[in-house]
Amino acid sequence: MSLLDLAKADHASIVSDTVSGFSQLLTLINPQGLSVVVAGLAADVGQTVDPDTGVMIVGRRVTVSLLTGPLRTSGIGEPRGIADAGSKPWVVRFADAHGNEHAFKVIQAMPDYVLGRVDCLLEAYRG
Amino acid sequence: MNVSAPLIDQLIDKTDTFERVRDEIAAILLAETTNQKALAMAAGKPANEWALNIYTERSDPWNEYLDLPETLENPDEAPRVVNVWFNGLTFDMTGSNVVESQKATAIYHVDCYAYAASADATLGHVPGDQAANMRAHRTVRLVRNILMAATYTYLGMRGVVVRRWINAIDAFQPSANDRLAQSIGAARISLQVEFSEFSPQVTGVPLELISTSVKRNGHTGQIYFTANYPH
Repeated sequence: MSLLDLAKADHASIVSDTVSGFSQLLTLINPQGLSVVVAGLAADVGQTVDPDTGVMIVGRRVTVSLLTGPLRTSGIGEPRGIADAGSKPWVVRFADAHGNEHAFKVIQAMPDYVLGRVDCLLEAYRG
Repeated sequence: MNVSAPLIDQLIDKTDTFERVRDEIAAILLAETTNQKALAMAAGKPANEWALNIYTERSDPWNEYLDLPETLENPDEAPRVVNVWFNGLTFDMTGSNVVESQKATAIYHVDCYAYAASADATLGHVPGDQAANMRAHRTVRLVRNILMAATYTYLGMRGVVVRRWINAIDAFQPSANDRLAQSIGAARISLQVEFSEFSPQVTGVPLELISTSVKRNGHTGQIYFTANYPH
């Protein structure tokens, strides 16, 4: 087994281990309304940004990391940011530390085709 | 080192004009948006669209909105935030005098921020970044119309304020790498205000009383000046 193969295996275990790792179950919904429950890493943390006014604004930065293999197997496809207001966006739902589920829209998807992972930047979504 | 004796004998306990103008801008915005909400309700329109949260000279009023904007889990509408702050002023010597009043031109920044979330729609969705910018622009529209209303030509300080003028409106958006779960739209209104600043004056000091009289000699016409004073 090459180092790359070893890294892929470790990486898949880290991203998908919901039993003894940091992974959790997420619901991914594509623009056609098809949904699947997949394992992934989620982060929802506070962050400040400067919108160029010189004053920092407090907000939240929410991301998820998903393995592309299970997504392809399920047939749902890989998430993308959908800019077209006439289309439905990719939506991710997952629970916070208190068990409250929140919905987010995928605004950016950045894949890693070597390790087989896609990192998604999310935005609050009402719907 | 020689230490000069103080010459200003009064406590400098007044508010300068640039401070009063800053506060007046915020007060006008608060009074008028409150009234606009009432007018909107009377017209059967959603009053929240005329609601602004107004701050002065704040660098961090946003933390209370950390969980916003509105989502299904948090249905309250995200507020729009306006921050009024003094950016600086210059003095014009040609319109001033070195003793009492100095003509000043100040720039105030009225920063308008709006949050928004992406939302589902019957056909497609409403993107959050677009919604945030639309809300920020709506805020700018409201602020601009209030500050440039004919009734506020002198910002309610006629005699002190010479004129006010919006120099520029600049829109901002966080860079792509800084995007948050809350989409943010921001714009800055640069308001120029010309007014006079006043400085402490010399206070007269009572002198010893003296009495004088002028007399003319009836024969020669010669004038005499006599004075009585303690010595």
